[in-house]
Amino acid sequence: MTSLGQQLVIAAIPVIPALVFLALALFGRILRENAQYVAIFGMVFSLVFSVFALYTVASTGAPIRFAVDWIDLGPGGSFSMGVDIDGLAAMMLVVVSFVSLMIQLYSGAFMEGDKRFAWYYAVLNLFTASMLGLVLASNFIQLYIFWELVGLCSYLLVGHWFEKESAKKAAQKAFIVTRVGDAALFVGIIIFWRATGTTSFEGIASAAQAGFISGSVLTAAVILVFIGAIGKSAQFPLHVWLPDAMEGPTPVSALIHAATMVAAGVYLVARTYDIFVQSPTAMLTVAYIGGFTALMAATMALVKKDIKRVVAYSTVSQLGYMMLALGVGAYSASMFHLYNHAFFKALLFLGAGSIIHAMSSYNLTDMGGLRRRMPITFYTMVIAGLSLAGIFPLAGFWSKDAIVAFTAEEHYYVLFGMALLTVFLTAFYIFRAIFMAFLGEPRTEAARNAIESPGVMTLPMILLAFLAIVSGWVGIPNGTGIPVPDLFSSFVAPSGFAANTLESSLGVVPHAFSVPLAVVSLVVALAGIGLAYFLYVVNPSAAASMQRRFSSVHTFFDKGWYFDDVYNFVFVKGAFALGRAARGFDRNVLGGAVGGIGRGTSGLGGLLGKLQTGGVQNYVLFILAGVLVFAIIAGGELAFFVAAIIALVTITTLFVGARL
Amino acid sequence: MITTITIFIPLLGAILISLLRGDERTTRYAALGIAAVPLLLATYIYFAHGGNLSGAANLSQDLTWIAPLDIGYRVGLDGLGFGMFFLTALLTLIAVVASWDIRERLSTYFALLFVAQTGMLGVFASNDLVLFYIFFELTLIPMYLLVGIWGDENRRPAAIKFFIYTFLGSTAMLAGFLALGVLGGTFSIPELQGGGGLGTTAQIAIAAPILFGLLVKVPAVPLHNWLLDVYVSSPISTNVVLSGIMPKLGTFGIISIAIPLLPAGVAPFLPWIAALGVVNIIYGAFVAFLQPDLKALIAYSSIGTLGFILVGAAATNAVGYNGAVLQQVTHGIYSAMLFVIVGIIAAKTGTRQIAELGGLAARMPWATGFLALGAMAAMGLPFLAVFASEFMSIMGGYEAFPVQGALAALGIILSAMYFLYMLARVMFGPITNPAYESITDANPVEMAAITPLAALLLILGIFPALLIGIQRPAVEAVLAAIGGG
Repeated sequence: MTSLGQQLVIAAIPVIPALVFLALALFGRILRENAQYVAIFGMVFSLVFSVFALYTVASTGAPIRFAVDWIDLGPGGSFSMGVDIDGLAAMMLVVVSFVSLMIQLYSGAFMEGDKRFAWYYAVLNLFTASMLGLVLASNFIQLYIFWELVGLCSYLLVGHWFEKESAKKAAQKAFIVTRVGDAALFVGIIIFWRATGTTSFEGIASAAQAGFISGSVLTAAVILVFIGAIGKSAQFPLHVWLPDAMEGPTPVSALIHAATMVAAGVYLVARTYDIFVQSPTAMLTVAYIGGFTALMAATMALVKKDIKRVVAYSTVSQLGYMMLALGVGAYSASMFHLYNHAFFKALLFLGAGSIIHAMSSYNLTDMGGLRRRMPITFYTMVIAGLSLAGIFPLAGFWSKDAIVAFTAEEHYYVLFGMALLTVFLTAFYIFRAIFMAFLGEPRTEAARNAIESPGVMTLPMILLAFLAIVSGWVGIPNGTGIPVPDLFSSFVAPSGFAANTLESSLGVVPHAFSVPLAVVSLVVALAGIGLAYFLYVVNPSAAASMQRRFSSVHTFFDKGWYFDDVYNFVFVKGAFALGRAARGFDRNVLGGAVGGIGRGTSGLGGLLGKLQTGGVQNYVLFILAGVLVFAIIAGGELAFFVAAIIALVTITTLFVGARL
Repeated sequence: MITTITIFIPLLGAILISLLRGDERTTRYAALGIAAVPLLLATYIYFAHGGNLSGAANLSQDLTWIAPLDIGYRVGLDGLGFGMFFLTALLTLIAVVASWDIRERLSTYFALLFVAQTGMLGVFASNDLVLFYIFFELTLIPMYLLVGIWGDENRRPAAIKFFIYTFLGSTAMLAGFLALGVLGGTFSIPELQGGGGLGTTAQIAIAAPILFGLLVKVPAVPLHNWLLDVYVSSPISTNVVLSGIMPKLGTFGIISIAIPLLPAGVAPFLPWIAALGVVNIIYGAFVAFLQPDLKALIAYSSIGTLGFILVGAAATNAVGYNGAVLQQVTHGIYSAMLFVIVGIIAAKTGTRQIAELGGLAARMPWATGFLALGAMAAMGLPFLAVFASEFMSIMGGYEAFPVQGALAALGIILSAMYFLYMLARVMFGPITNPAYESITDANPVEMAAITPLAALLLILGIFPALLIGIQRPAVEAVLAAIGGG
């Protein structure tokens, strides 16, 4: 049981940023750039309270749970707003509020002089509040509510510079594509609700376990829920919105990619893991969608010239890893990667933002030689890159290795191959970007004159760089010989039920750390970095000649496998065609079918028009008289007949009208 | 007694204001004063009963009128009707505020609006079939005149089309009512609950014309042909009532008369009503998508949102029915709000054509914010009023009719598609017309017309229990009477 005080503290975690949103939305014009201090002040409280929640869960070893009724229909069903903080949720709370705080610190300088500065901070806070609410949710309806709000905020933030045509389109695309997933999620939720009469995660899991949902219905519902996760976490085939979402301010990208929006999909699968594990078909779907996405997005990142897009595709790819891990049963490894990824990916974006702030260009070919001009950005980016590439002993190494090794040990050799190839590609593309930006000679005047960003921007980067190194050290697996306890996987562990089901239906068992597999993935990653160094530092002409030789492959990757073109042709053009057809049908066919009445109306119009010449006052008098008549004869038999006469007159008028 | 007073105060006001001889300013303030009274009374009723109207005897009245046929002046307020009763009072006030584009014959305009208001309030409080019909018809002529006199150049045919369609519908409905009352031995709505002792065949025969009449009023596709011309032609302040309240006369009839009084009669039609709801949702969205006129777009979006009411009501289970009852109110709030904002945009820019607008956000941040808020509400975003009613309608619909329910969920995607596309074209991007560089944002009067609706969207969005609590006992009574769950 939790005390009321505790409950208030927990509830305050999302409520504080929500109130900050309201305050800034209403009074932003007065506060202007002071808005950031209000926001940061609020976020510090959210972070402290999140740490309190983490501490409480860790020290008592029991989840924090309470709920209030939101809509209560008694026996007809009710929908509650609740809190359910287990190890996973506690970890997420801290990550979300910490990353959000870093980004709010950084944004003040980055967004300086923006004409909607306070509004930007307002939405940033609503975004964080929604994500925190989503993390706390104890049932599907509540999760869906915050899920939608997260989508709304991404729309507002991606479209922050809505005067730009591209930003406006990107925002629209992000919202509509993810909403396809949302609709699927919603249908999944109502299938569960119909079968079990509840929307709580726990209730559905135990009802499914007790056999209240037949196998095929369960699989269908779980896959629908997963489609929702696909949309939010930008997995194949709904990944197309995320690269375009780069149109938003760079700190927003950091927030979307690191802690809030895209993590929501992976979190949803983890949160409802007890339901997912009951459908082996769905689990395999999750694994293969994840594995395929990881590889596909990595190939797209290889050739991008826009530094933000390289990092964006990298997110899609890394989320693929997390999905893959969940699908094969590596729950803790997946969440461990989510946690590490939050820090190094936020850092990569803030680093990219720092470059953009310094030289107003996203284009890698405009950069070069920034190492001397922006040393802090350079070194923090290298740390983030090494962490992403999975180099020992940085944070990313531990979680990535755990996932790759797990696929091999569970004999998913196709997935293992995909994962390993992705390790190579990842190391290559991120160091390609870093080398192009920071090494060699400056390629433009802007790059020659770039200066390091101010302290409020570099400080969050340094903090995140520190975490990009050490965050993984809380989850160093047993058996490495390093005398550090594996806190993470015992704290963020699948439920006993999920673990048992995984073991009985998929044969998943815990594995010890495997040195040979770790060496393999490390060597592959180093090979990727080495190739990038050779092609972009030692011998840049080789890169250009390779691009020429494989130009069709290059174009294929650069065009994102032509997904946008195909979707544009099928869905966008299709929707417009349907819209035109529907409008034409409505106007001509349905409008035409009632042409008789249409003709009748003009005749009747003339008839009534003659009456109308008497002036409006007469009409009013007529109506008032009619009403008065009713009032006076209330109690008399006549009223009934008056009503009947009105009806008769109408019918006659209709006939007359139709004749004319 | 208080119910009767609330219903007839606007009628009294109509007489007063048409007798009043004063300048425009006096007329406007008088109208505001008159419109405020029913709203205050409705608010009082809500709080005086602590948000629970069941068993509140002082709200109902029962006077014998035509004894042999057991027709009476029977009014009462319960949870089914209160939400719309309150909204009628509120939207009439908003309509008075938003009547800034009415310059000629102002007092007549307000008088007609108030006559219509009495009719609408009466419908939501009627406990007698004949009285229901009289109030129902009482709204028609003033509405017809409001559009036909103060509308745009296309107003005459539009008004007549509206009149003919809905009169045709209500005549069919009257025939059904008469048959039901005569065969059932009374016209009292509460006494007829559950079927009035009629057999299934008789109920079906009676339900058919009643449903037809009510579906025209909603309107359900393909009976909606009158709607576009009327909505587009009418003045903005009439739109507020026309879209916020008038369709609910139809849905309210289905929810509180057709289904509870003729359960066996409507049962065979329920899957089809749900299917019509789905058609409304999907067809409305696609027709709305490329409408060139902002008003037309909102009109078709309304058709879509009203579809959810049909789906939820047809479900006849607790979740769906509560959703449908609530959706009547929530749709009224957002559609009225959108029409007012369109009026503001049209007043500033001189056009409602989407193609001629663009980039207004830079000059009109508040109007943009409110338009976006209304659109977000219409798309069913959480913590805005429509969300709760919409998801309940879909869930209930799915429980009763899985195919219809699942298809209704498609509306979630489609509404986002056309609303965001509209916002992008009207508000975002660069300013397309140099003349718009100098337009101003909404003025205080215009803000006064929108702000209460925006606040209500948020309040009901976050605390839907404020209305669900009041309607739940009434819904439970209906479901018990028809033997549903």
